[in-house]
Amino acid sequence: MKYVVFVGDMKVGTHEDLLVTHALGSCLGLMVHDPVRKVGGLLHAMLPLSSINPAKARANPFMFVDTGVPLLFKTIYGMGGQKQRLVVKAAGCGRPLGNDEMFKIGERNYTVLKKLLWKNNVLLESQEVGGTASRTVHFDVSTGRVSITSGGKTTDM
Amino acid sequence: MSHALIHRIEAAADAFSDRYAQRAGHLMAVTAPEADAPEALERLAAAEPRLAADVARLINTPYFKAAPGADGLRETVEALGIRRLRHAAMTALAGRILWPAVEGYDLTAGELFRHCLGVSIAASHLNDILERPEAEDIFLAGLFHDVGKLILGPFVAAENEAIEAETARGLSFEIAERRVLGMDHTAVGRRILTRWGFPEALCRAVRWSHTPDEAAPTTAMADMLHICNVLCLSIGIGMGREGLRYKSSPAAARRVGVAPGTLELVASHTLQWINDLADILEFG
Repeated sequence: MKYVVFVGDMKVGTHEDLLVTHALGSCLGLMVHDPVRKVGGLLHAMLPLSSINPAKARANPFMFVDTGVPLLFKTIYGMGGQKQRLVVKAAGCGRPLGNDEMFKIGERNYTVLKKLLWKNNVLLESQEVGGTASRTVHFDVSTGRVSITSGGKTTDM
Repeated sequence: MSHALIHRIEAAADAFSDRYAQRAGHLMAVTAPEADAPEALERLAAAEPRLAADVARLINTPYFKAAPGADGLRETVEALGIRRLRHAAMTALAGRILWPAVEGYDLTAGELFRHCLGVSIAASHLNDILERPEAEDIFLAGLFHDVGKLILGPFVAAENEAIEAETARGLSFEIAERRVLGMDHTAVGRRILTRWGFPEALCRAVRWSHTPDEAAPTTAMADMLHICNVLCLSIGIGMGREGLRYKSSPAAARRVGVAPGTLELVASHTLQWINDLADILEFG
């Protein structure tokens, strides 16, 4: 089954499921996979910190990196995933041309992610972050394969 | 780039403009500031019943509904007022005009509209926070700021390689359009909106939505439109194949006095509103 993950959204799948998210710009795309249990989840978080709008974070924790990432891991654990087996990959976190502090949302998203992972002793297996590209992620839960399509080209992570 | 190419783009823009000018002009006239809102909706229903039906659904969404306890259409419209009724009517029209897929920018059906709606909502919200009364038309400016992409799309597709070559040198996408095609999508948009009789300040804001520092004089409406345009592209709302190859202006943010935290707050509010409204106007 194919599931599309929208902005501020998270979907999980098992076995033959395909998780897809489109148009990652400054947003974080985080893919977590347990290859033994064959469960996986994809988070598309928009903003770094929920403190900017706690009410929205309560209504939709997937909008923010600091609330969405822990919930993604908890959901995977709830499906039988085990921390020591998890393969974690990150994509997105881009930014427009120039060096405008205002639009370093992607960098802030990535910084918050790294802090969360570091605190919890989780390493990123691979990452495809930064730059000005629009990225589409395809995550095959049966194999754990993650491919990124950008500018008409597709590459595996 | 040749003058013949520019003439072809202008002719396409004018033909498109003429196709919708009467409807856009009629909506602006019916929802003029001095009009009575319930009466305006009745006139709209008589002239464009399907559009009026969309408006009736839009004004009952949390984004538009001014009085949550309002019972019945007349009471809802009265509470809404003529200014917001105009916004709802123009949202319905924009949905019909901007819904198609756009080649050249690789936008699927509905994506251009979602982007324009997002910029419109975000910019309007930012204007409420910053309290710049001179930018009162910013909602409409946002709704139609990328209308030029509908016209320029086929030309962008035809000159894809040349435009990609320009952006590979680090140029932003709209400058590449200008170099290769002779005009960019904001110039095309301004031409269309001017022919529709939209206010000059709105048309200028659309023209300088990617390069607000080039507007002489600069305006708060162009600055806020620019900031919210880059914001919506950044968070992936209507981001086409050009991705984030647009340059943001730090000067625009300084001029209107917006901080990163404010912008993120605006983004957090905008997403749900876009989803609510775009779902209602799903034209499939």
